[in-house]
Amino acid sequence: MQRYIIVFEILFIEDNPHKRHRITDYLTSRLHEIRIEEAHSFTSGCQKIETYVYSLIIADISLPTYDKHGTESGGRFRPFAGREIGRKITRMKSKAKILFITQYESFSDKGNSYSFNDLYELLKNECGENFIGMIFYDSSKYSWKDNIISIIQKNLK
Amino acid sequence: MDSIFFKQVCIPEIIDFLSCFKSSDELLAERVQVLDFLLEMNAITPTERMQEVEDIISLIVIDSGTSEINGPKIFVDSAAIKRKVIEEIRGLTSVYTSSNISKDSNKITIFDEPLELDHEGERHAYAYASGGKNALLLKIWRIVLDAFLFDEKNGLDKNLSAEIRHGFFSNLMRARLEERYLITELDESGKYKPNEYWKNQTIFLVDEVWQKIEQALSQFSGEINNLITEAEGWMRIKGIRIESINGIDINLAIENLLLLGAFVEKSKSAESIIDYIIGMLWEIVDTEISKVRDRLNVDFKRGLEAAFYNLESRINDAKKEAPLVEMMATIRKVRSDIQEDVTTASQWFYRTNNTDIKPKPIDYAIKIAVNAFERVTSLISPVDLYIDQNIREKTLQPNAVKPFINAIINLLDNSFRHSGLGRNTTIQLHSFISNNLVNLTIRNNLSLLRSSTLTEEDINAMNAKIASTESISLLRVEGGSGIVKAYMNIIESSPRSQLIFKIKDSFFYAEVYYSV
Repeated sequence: MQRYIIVFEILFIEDNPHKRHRITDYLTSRLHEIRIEEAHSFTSGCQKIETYVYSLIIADISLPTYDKHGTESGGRFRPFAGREIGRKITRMKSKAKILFITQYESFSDKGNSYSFNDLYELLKNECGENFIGMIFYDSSKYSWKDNIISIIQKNLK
Repeated sequence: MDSIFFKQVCIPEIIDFLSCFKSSDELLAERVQVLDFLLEMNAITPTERMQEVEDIISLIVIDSGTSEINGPKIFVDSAAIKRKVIEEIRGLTSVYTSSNISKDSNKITIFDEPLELDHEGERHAYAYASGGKNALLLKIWRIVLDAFLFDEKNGLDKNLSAEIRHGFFSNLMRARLEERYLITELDESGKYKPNEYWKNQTIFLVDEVWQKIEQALSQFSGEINNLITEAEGWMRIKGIRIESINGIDINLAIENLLLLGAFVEKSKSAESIIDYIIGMLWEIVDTEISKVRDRLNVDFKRGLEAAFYNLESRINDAKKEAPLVEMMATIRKVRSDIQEDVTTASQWFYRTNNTDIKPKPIDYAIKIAVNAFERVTSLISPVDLYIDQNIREKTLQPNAVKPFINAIINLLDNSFRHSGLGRNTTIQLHSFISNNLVNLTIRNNLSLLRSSTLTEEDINAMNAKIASTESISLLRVEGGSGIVKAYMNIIESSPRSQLIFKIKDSFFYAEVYYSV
């Protein structure tokens, strides 16, 4: 009997190369049934979401508007780009799950401050069924690894 | 209704939410098209349009410069290193390949001088295969290594010092903290100065509480400074000349020495031997600078988080029931934003081939101007640019660069605006040296109508206008036209320069005679 392997397509939107490589390397070493595509900014992430259906979107909370390269400095920095992406996905009625990942414990923009927990609740409410979690990434600790694997395994079945 | 939509909604800060623009350039070019449309609708005046286009162009110029400053910085001029050591290496290579030297490569010599530290920082004796040839091999290595690392003009240490360590890193790390008054400076006695800003913002606090908060802010200043000093140590070269724990460690492993020996036996050419060693060195540097990136992204960020955590905890303990909303919000904001600055600094630790951080050479300034102009216009053909080789030897003083760029942009914009051909305008920019002056000639075609109505008298009037003190004073009061602005920019950049307009065979010419 022929066996089929289901490959889950993941879009990982992250501008920090160090964080991106560490997370991608870890995920691909642990989960063999995934394929990860990368985007490095809010806009390139949105363009990919609009043209392809992903099983899961992993998005950093804060991103530049455009991919940085050459003389492109990335445009406006968006402290809540991940939230904007979450809203787009919800409005598109996409079935893609979204997992937020950040290395900040607090967030501020235009006079509003949010703790990690405040933002967690906000994103959970705004993204509804698309939301599967928000992870605090600390490259010096191991906990993010357990968290990300357990959330992905639980939701990509 | 339409004009409100185009004026106030179709602005870059709002339309950058749309994913149809792939870059900042496309976004800003769209805004310029919106402005042209608003001008056609008479919803804005030509002056308003020009003002915003100038702002956009300035933004692009600054943005390009910022990208360069924030981009990779690690650079060693390999060609200059090669020129410096070639004669010495040639001599040593000649001796090496002569038959008189011992091939006693099995002999082992323990060097007096340790060449590297292991990962724990312990010294180890290093044993290398010795003999006449191996001693020469090490000497060759050492000469190239020394120039590569410590050449005063072109070496890695100079690069790290001038581009990163001296000011750049610490300024970037301190900028947000100083802007929000979270850190203060040390006074002559080695104590942190009182934090007057937050004292004035929190005058309602009783003295005892404020004392504790000020103490917390002082401790925070100290912790930040220590972190920066430690991180700057990671950006130093350690080993042969400087001891710096966790610094950049450039040394020759024994297997590399063996590889080098095999290469020299085979190659026998001083040039290729130097290239080979520089290639080896870059491999080591690449590994080492990736460690610096990791340390900044992991250790330094962790240190910052701990410092902010300590600050918030100490202030919370001190303030008790007092809300201190503004201060706590400021701390949280800076805590979040500074992480991006660390990411930016870590991106400096990649190799670059470009060290022209500041656009000082005149040809570079011309290219920036043309590039910035092209980005915001929708010309069907790009500007045809010809730069004579000799121009590249001429440089602009730092304060002359910006007005020079603005002058060219204004002249290019004038060609585009007044040709009567719109997007079909073709523009050539030729630059060359003549009578020790830099000559820039900007030429554009004209529509039949424009060509037939633009007379010699008009051109003479234009030349008279820019020469008159009346138009200069008008410019100072009102901003002036594009050509007068261009002229003002030119004389601001170099007072003895001239701008002359001509018309010939249905082409319009703007000629700049620029005195460097």
